[in-house]
Amino acid sequence: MEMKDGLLLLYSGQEDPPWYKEFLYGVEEEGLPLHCLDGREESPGSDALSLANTAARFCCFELGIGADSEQLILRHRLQRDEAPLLLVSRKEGKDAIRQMGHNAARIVKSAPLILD
Amino acid sequence: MKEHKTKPALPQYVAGIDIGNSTTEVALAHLEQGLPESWWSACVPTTGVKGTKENIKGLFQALDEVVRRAGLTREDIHLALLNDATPVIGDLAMSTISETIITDSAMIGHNPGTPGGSGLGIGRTKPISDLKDCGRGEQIIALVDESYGFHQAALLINQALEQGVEVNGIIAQKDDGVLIANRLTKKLPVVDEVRGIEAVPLDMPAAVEVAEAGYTISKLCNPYGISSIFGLSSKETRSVANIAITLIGNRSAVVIKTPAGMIEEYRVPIGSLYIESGPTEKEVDISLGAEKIMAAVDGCRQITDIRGEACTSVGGMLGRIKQCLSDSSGQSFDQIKVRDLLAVDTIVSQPVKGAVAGETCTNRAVGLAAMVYTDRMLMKDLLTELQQEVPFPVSIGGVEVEMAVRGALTTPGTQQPLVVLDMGSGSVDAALWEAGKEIRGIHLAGAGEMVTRMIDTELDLKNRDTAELVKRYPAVFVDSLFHYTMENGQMVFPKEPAPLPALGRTALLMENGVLYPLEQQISLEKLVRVRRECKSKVLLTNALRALKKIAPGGNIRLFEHVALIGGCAMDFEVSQLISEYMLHHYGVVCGAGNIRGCLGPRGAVAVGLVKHYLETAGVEGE
Repeated sequence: MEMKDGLLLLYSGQEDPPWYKEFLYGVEEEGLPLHCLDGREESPGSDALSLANTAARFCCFELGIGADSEQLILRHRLQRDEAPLLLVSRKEGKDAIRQMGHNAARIVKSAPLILD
Repeated sequence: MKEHKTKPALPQYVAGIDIGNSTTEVALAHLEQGLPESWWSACVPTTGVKGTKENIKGLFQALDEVVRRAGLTREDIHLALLNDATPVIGDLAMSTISETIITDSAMIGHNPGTPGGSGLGIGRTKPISDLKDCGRGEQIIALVDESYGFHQAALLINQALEQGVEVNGIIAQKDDGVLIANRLTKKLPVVDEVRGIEAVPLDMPAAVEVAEAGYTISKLCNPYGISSIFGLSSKETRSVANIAITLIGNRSAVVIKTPAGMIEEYRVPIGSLYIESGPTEKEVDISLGAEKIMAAVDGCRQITDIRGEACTSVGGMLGRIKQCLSDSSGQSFDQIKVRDLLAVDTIVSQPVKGAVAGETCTNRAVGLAAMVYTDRMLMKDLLTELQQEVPFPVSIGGVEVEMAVRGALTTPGTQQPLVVLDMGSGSVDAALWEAGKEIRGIHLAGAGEMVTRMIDTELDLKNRDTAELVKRYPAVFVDSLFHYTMENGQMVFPKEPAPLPALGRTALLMENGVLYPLEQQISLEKLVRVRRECKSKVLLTNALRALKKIAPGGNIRLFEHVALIGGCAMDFEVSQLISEYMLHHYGVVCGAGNIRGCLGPRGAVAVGLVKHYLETAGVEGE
């Protein structure tokens, strides 16, 4: 996979529209380019965490988003632990998913995050 | 026959206890044949208001800590000496002397993170639900409330545009300005995150401006820009100048023209201060600012009272201060005489009267600290209470300010004549001790607490405790997850990512590298500038006033040594600020004291109490 000039989201299997489309709107509102690709070939696992780790390796901002059927995870390539930097699960609803989109973009922009 | 004096038998363990406004400090000395052999110290936060029996809890904590360090128990102490608190109390008040009121227009001037589109749009305000009823060629500013999703909003606006309605700008309630703008067939300015959209008057002429990324608005922040848009007369233009000025620097703004007189203007007159000095009385207009007020205050030899003009805002301020001091001292309101006053220019952030989305702007204000002398012996009641609870005798060892000089003189490199500047939370006290003379001391209103209150208002923190932290800790800006900029420009690259709430914010660097992010978005430069200015305006000003008052002929150059003690001397920049100024301007050696060569500027009074006891008991110093 080539390096991507924007945020990179890797998914495993895709519904159309995806359950996390609010995340995409959150990133769009912040004005950031976002690439969404099937990550099953590149990633050693198809869970959100390993997809996110893989995505972080191919993103120019060193931030990767992984999406499986239940959750979205954001990881930074330089993180030394295995904890997600941001995480949202499908159950949490539209607002929480949109907010994670805003926050993922804001980490790139170094803008203050939206916190509850 | 030669008289032979025998030394009285001295107790072995003597404790000096200084109960301050914020900390309780204890110094314990072990006397070997009447000479102090070893010392131990402890410092804990004061419990309760200074001089009340609530202090005993903190006092015991400090005592227990010091005996623990000495490997003793409370029962081993033979004598405890308490400071006699300075009989002065002070209080603060702040009042604005300018106000921004909008009378015949409304405005929305906020900086949403992501407004949509760009440009200037002019039209009449209409809710999005009414667009279908608008006629061809009608000039419209559409209001999108939160019940509309961005898809639906963009759809309705595109339909209206197709029907020939000239929608020229959009005001949206939710944070989806970019999403709406990206789905429109025409490039329009969108101001979003207008939470109080229901307050926007309907069917009124309005202008929406969004600047290109990296730019700030240019039309709506110019009084003539607004007058050109709405065709205003010269008089009307004058009244919108307030709006224009508050919008400067924004990336987006909305101005709505409303019928005149929708918002009433009412101003409290600012008023004058009356400074009584014996039979004479000086009047000074508060709106002239701190410099003029302080010139009047410092021009009086001995102030007997200061009053504010009745029914004015300064009258109210001094009234509140006096009432508060009357309550805490138990003296009647009429007996409260203000003996010193410090006025400081400041700025406060206030809601703009007439603004729609809760906008604020900065107005000039003046902060006052006042001080009164009380006739109440603060420590007497406490002493009686304390004596009932401890097995050793307790007595009042001496007056605070005099003990402070004795303690400060244990700083290596100092000698008499020595001036001590004790900068606490409520007052700046200065004392001069010349060899063979009595110690002379004075007290001035305004110190650490006033600095905190000014930082609170100038940075609009709306939280005194946060302001206290801003005062105490250096600041950093968290540029990214993996790098911070310190206030001195140094970059730091942490191994672990920064806590997410701190990202993109100014934070305080606390002990062990812990970051305390500020909720408000304040630039690092502004925070540092305001913090230093507040410290300088209060503490440096009072340090100079105090030294001039005790210096022979008001000449500070005659002093050789000035030791800074008290809470403010512990501050990471205050003592440097004052030291530098003193040496450069007056050639005076000035620095933070270092009590007994090891305690820093802390514990001067507690150590002084023990030293004083030894001197009066006929024993020489250490």
